[in-house]
Amino acid sequence: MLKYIVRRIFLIIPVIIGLTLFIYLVLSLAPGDPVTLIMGQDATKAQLEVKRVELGMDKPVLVQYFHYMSKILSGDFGTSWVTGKSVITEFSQRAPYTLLLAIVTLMITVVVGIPFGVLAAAKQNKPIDNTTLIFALVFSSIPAFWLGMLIQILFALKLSWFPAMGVGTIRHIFLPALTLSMVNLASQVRMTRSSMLDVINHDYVRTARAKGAGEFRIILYHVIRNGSLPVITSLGIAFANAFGGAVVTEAVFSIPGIGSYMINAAKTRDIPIVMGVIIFVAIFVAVVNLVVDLFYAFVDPRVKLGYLA
Amino acid sequence: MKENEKKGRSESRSQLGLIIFRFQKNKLAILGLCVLGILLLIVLCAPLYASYENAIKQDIPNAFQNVGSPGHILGTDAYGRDLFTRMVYGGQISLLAGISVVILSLTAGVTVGGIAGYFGGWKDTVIMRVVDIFMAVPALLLSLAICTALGEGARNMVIALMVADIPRIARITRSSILTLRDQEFIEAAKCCGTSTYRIIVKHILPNGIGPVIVTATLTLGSAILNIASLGFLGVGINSPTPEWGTILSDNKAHIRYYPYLGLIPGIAIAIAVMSVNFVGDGLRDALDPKMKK
Repeated sequence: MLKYIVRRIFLIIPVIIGLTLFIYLVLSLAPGDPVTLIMGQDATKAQLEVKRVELGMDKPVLVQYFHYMSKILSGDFGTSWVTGKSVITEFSQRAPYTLLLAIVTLMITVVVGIPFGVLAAAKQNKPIDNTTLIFALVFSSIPAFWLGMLIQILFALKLSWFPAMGVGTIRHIFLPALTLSMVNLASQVRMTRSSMLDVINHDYVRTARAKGAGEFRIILYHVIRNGSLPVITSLGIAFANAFGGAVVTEAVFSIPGIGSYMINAAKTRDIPIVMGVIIFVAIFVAVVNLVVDLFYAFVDPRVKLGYLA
Repeated sequence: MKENEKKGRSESRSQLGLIIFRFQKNKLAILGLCVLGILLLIVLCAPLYASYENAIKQDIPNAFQNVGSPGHILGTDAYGRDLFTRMVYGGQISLLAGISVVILSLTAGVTVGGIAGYFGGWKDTVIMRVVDIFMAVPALLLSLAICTALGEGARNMVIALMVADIPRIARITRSSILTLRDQEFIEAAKCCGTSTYRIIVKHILPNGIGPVIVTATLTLGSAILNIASLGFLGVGINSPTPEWGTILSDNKAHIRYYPYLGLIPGIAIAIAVMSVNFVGDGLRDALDPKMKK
């Protein structure tokens, strides 16, 4: 088991090298001089040259990349080109907001998405099933930022139930999390429904029914347990995607998290920040995937045997 | 030989006929297709009935004209620009960029995934490792990073979204080909001395393209959403160029008092994406009736 975990963690390394190298190469191919961008148009040639040497940008791109990666290995993610602040310090200040947002989003997705998926499967092709599916389809088609604005206007400005933007109390996190989970809910409901349907027609479900087990008991003990693996996978994906969706949601609700950090950096082409965020998110997603896979072993003894082998 | 070919062709047509038959029974899918067609027609014919000048030119005294006011069917925004004109020209960018993203990533993804799936071996290993790399972060985040490195503009945005979508299509293509590769009829074709090119084009593609087309359709939906999101964030296409996402972001501050400024672009995006998703759903059921439960 431990061997499996260690091997999985080592597999993250080539992924990160590939991603960062790709962004570095794209940047070096793109038009526009980053040093001019940092110093502004008014800087003299000599000033530009000094800054270029200071940042190590006078060297070939692969040398620069090697330099950057070796600094990262010692925990130094560099400083922002625009503000000059350390990337890792600012990141660690902002990460908790995004993490909290992602966790609350996941909770809403689980509490709403799974029951509705199970219900839709249990009442297959009945009105409640069709209604659920159409709602899921509609919500997956609405742009998250627009939904966020509507939710903001309705619940914060008109009804004043929740604060409209910013952070501070736990009430602040509710509307952004609601927005973000609405987007995920669609795929969660459909995934749950289809994996429940895969199980619901098996012989042992019929046997349970023949024994006289109640419908509720059948769903809870026989169907959900056996159909839960794909659901867990899609929850893992939803959690990871919350980090992508956070970019939009944080912009709408003015949350000082990783998403808004990334957007500000994208607008000013602040590459050290973009690279840092990408590396962190890649590690985060890989860890989530690992946890999901380990959770499989917990739910399904057959998977556990596979890991031990 | 010629007779055989003819027979094969007529059979593939009846297969296609079956798919069309199943598709047209799905009312939502047909509705989606019609709405999408109408949207494309309105948007592409824009130069015939509205001048681009009106979408860009500021006319402050005429700001915040309400929906239905003379000369401005959908009203005007904070700078007095006609919202309807901005919407149709914005739709050109949103829809056409979305379609280009899908066509480009479909071409690249099918090629790459096809090579990995059909030839296997080290080609498969290398390609799938690279695919894993690009799937390691959420698509929107990856597109954002590539946009940052490339700089703004419609072309760069299309490239960024394409790079994020290729791995997904490559994966589907590969798995679809893997299930076909070792089946008897492919083996039989090989025994007859059929060339690899012919096997791929005549035997593998028609049988394995179903899931790929469905994924591509759904990718169109997410591409339109992502283009709007990038526009809204101010990374892809920037104001004053109209684009559904940037129109929303321009109007952001005024939505509370002039709701139509927020409702119209949002509804347009939602309708376009929903139609695409309905079509994708219909295609899925039509191409693979076994999937429908």
